[in-house]
Amino acid sequence: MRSLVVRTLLLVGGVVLLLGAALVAWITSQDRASARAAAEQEQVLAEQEARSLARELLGTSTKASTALVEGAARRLVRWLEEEPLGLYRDPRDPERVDVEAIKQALTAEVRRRGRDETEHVGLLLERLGTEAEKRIDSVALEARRAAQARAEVATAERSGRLAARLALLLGGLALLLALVLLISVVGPVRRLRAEVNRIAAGDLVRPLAVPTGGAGELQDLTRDVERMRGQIAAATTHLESEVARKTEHLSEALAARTHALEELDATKDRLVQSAKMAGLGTLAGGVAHEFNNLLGGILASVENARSAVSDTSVREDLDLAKRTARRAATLVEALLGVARPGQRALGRVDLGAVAAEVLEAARPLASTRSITLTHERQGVALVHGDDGQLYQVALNLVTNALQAVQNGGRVRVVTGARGRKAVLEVNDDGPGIRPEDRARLFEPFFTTKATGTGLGLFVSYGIVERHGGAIEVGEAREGGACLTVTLPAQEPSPRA
Amino acid sequence: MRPPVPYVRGLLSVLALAVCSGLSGASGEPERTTCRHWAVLLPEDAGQLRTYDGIRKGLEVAQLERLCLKDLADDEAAFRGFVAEHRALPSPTPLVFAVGRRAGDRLLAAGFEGPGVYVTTAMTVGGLPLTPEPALPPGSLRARGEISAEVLGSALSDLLGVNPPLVRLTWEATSPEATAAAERLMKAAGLTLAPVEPIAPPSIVPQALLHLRLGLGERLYPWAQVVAEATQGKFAVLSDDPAHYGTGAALVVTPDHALLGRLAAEAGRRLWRGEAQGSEPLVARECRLLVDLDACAAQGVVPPVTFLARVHGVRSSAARRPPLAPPGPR
Repeated sequence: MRSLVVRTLLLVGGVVLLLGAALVAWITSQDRASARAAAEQEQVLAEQEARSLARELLGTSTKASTALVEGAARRLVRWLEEEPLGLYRDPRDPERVDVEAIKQALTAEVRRRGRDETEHVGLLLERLGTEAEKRIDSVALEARRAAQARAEVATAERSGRLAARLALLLGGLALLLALVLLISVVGPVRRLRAEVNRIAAGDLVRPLAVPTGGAGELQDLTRDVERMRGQIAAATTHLESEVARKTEHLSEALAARTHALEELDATKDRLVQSAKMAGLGTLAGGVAHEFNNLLGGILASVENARSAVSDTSVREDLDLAKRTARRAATLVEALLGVARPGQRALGRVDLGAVAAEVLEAARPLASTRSITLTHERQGVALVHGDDGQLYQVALNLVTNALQAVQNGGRVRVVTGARGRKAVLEVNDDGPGIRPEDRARLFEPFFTTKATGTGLGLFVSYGIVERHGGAIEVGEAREGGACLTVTLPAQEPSPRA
Repeated sequence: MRPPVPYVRGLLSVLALAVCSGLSGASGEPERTTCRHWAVLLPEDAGQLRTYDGIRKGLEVAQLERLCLKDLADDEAAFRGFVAEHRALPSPTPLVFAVGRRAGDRLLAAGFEGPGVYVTTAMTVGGLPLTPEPALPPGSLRARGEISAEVLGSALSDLLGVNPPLVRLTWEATSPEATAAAERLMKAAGLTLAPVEPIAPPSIVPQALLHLRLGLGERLYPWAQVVAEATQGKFAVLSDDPAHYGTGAALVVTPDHALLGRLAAEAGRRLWRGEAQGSEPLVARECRLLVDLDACAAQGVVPPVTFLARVHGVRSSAARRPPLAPPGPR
């Protein structure tokens, strides 16, 4: 009983025994019923046949007798009708009929016919007898069949009782066997199935609640399931850690890629801006060079004319023309500085110091408008560059901020280092820069002010570009604009 | 014309011997010891002899002189010689009874002028002969035994239990008249006629074979062949020849030849006595139905008992004859 195969075979055998017993009982009952019905039918048929035979024999005999008697009488009458009675006349007295002769002839005819009819009747009776014998034989055969059928019924009933007892015994045994096997097999299988369903639902942590000890196919199966659960749990844990690791790696790669893309976009924008500004610088430089030549001629002519006239008023006018030409020359010189930077005095420059100097220079103007100037130093911002040009950049940015803010406004300058960059920020609480103006902010002659030249930021952009840095436009926390200059930072010297 | 069957010749010889021995027998009446009247007969079937016997008995009842059978060859010269001989006899010339259609035809062809009685049998349809009969000279009468087509058909249907049965004639029609007569016979008898053709091989299996003599020059098949075919094919054989009763026919339908003979004798008496008025034939209309149970069994026929009860005769070789009652006082 330990082997599942043995148990299954026993279960199947029991079921087969039960079905076989039921089949035997059913067939026997059917045979018994059909045999009883056939016997009853045979009995009824035999009785009907006997009665029918009697009636038929009686009817046939009656008809035959009637036909015989009628035929004999009819034939005798026909003899009397057709007999040529002229033959019986007296030859000597033709009018006289010999009645005695007729009587004799009739008697002879009756006797002859009697002999014939006797033979006829004998044959008929024999015929009737033969037919009756056949029919009686048939009835007897039917009766024998009925008796045989009754005997078969009795035999079938005995067999049926025996088969029924046998079926009952076998059925009981099979039921008992099936019950025992159901208890010993189905219960553990059902519990194991529940445990397997629990594992399939994802509960891999708890071990099986079914005992795994003992021998037999069911116990082997239980142990196999438990081993499978452990393997699945280990594999799941390993898989989860691997997924987490891969996810983190992917996140980092994604962030790096996003940053690289942003860097790429910024670089692309700077390159575009740089190319555009380079083109504008070349154009402005060419124009400024031609203007510078013309202004040189104008100044020389004005100087000659002033030397030649003595009228004071004329000389004052010429002095005015001379000053204006010089301012134009200064402007042209600024443009030429963007296009042809010329010789720069490079050195270590502290952006904090530059910012402080610019703020100091701008403070008188700011105080006249009650503008608050502040300087936040966020570390040392050392760069390698031209101190004067960087001073001009800072001055341009601060001047623009002072012009942008209202009276009583605030301008905050921040200098410091961010990573490997030195930063100079100029923040204000002015109206800020509109988004549509930001793209053109560094173009030459672009200005939003009524009296501006549009060259300050253009010149500043060129200076920062030449120093390997960049100017970006943003929003200040005060609500106004924030222009940020970033330059490659220079490590402070050990002596500093 | 088929030749006379051997047993008919033998029977005739026996009858002739019996007649001769009768001539020399002690009747006690001198006028009956010599042959006064004559019968001519060309054997066609056994019924003719029974008819002849009936004539003799009838003449005896009528107290006429003795009748003898004139043995004539079946040729014209023999009959002409007989007629010439008859004419030479002193008056009153003896009666001549022509038994059978062929003998009568020969006698008429030889110029016989009477007094004569022509005895024939005929199949009738609606009470009339199926085949025409020749006109008779003055001083002659006809006695006719009839077989009714209706009775024949009814008997065959009752025997087989089939209506209508499919039948075939056992002869070859030699003329359109014979074919037409056969069709009329079948129609009146209520039978279905299978194609007229040789029996073997049959294209349509009949239920009965009709062995009938219509007197139209038909050629009947040999009886032994007919019986063999019927036994093999399980067809009932019906015949109008009394000689076939007990020799293979399941059913024999025949006129009452004894009565026919007495009627012929009455016709002769009338002629002899000068009482003949007109030329109306004397007719024996009673048909005799005879059943042979042995032949029925051989041919696969089981006749109904009620049919057997109304026929005129039944025979069986295996019959257990009931013991006859001892003859009572007469």
